[in-house]
Amino acid sequence: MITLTLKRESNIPLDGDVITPDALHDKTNAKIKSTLITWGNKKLPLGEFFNVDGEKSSSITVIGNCDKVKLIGHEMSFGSILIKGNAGYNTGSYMTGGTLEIEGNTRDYLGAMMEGGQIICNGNTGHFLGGAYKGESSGMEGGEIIVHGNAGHEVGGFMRRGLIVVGGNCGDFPGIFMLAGTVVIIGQSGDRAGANMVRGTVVLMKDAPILPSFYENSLLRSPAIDVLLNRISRFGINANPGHTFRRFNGDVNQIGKGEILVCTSKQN
Amino acid sequence: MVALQLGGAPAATLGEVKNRADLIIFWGSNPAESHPRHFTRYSGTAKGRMNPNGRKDRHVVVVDIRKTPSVKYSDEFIQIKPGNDYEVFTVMRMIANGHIPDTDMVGGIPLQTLIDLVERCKKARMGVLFFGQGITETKGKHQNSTAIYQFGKDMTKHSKFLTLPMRGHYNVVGSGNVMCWQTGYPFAVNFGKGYPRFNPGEFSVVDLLLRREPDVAVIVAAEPIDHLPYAAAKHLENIPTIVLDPRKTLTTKIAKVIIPVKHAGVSVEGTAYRMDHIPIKMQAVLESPWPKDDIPLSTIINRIKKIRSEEKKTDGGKAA
Repeated sequence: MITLTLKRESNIPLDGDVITPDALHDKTNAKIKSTLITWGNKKLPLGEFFNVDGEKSSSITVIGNCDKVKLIGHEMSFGSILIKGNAGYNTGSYMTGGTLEIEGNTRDYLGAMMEGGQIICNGNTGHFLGGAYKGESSGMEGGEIIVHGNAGHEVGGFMRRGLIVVGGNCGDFPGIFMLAGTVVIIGQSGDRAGANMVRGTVVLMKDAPILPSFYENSLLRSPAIDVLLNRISRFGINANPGHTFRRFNGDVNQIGKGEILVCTSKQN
Repeated sequence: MVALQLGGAPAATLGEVKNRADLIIFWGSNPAESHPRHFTRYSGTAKGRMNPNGRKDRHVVVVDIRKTPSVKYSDEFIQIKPGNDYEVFTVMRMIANGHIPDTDMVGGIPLQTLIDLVERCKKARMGVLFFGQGITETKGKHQNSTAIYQFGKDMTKHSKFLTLPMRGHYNVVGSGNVMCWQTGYPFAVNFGKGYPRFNPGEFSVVDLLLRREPDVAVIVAAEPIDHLPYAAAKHLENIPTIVLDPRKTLTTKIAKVIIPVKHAGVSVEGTAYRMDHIPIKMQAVLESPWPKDDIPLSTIINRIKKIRSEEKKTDGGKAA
């Protein structure tokens, strides 16, 4: 295992895109220390910012408040990263495989443009969870993101495939411009869920205002949703199966094939 | 700008508006106070090729959360509840696309009023929706602009319809235009890695200052102390700031270095962009003893390049 312990916190952000098993798994301790990392507008050896223990491993542990370390796990395709603390912007962006776990909070764009693998965030996260970068026409294309805390606006924006679960509350526009995939909000969702969604499913376990461009068409009790909720509860999130859902179809301003399921029973 | 990237916008120049438009909608915009010449030169009383009678040939609608001074120049005022613009545009798009919403009232506006407005848009020879900060700085932010652009695109199936933002501040469009052809991105551009990267929220100025990331700031012809949120502006007091400005401002009061420069468009010629992205050539009309903006900036850049090359020599090229 490779252990990176943050030596000092700085207001100037670090671009931690070299902190991935892909970049470090075949390097000796000395080579890891000399790997260049971008700090502001300078490239400096990683050893100046982190104490490095271990070598040649696809399992990385990052210790410390990495709130200003961006892009940890960027484009990672295998192995595992455990962040014992907070993480900065773009954590796990463009990830295609492996597992990434954050014990603290993260900033915006957690798992943005993700294509595979699994991200577990035990704290809160910012806006654009599993979302698309500005100018992109599709966001998350696969994999799973489980957030135990709260999330910001536009969860799963432009999502094309995969699963996003938010154990706490989320901001406005969950599932905006969603093309496919599943977003589950266990806590209270903000307004305008599923705005402009094309296909896909947004599951809201607490009642929330639905846009007029969605039509309610049935009450639903689905074994598939129970299987999904059972699986989510195995992550330690309180998502008991067996509920009845109000099913809304929309957004009719797109092709109207998306669905929002709103739980009808009260949650604890 | 972010909304534009989600799929473009139906737009034209203000000359087209002046000559052709017979339906003008001001949404979340108060041109009587924010753009006082707009109404007389382009959108209200101006006489154009197809509007020979000026104001009489146009129908003007104002949509806002309160009766602004612009309302007295309008034919119709629609009052909307604050923060409900997205819902209202969603319903207007539904009506435009032939769907009937299952509601009688949206955002405090009766459904029939919205149906009438959409019908008027459909029948217009050329309709223009101008939107201002009442839309972009309220709940939903850039997604409200996205909804407007989508409504504009839906309406083009029925008539000629334009959606134009009422951009504020002198030459703010010019900044976006020049950044676009220089870097490929309109704003929030980071050069830290030696090439441009774009990510609003991560690299935009308010967010950077709120996170206290900059350790020096060069401010050119801007007034952040007056315009930015207090917590963001406060950080500028704690770091070295170099301000290039021809006049005394609140920002020059906190600046560590002030470099007086010529006033663009007054004492130095150049180009400014109008809100419809038209470049306007400006001539110098007054003499000034100060240098043009580019002289101190290029001096600073040359000095940084020299320091960088010296750094490279001393640390073996590790510094970027």
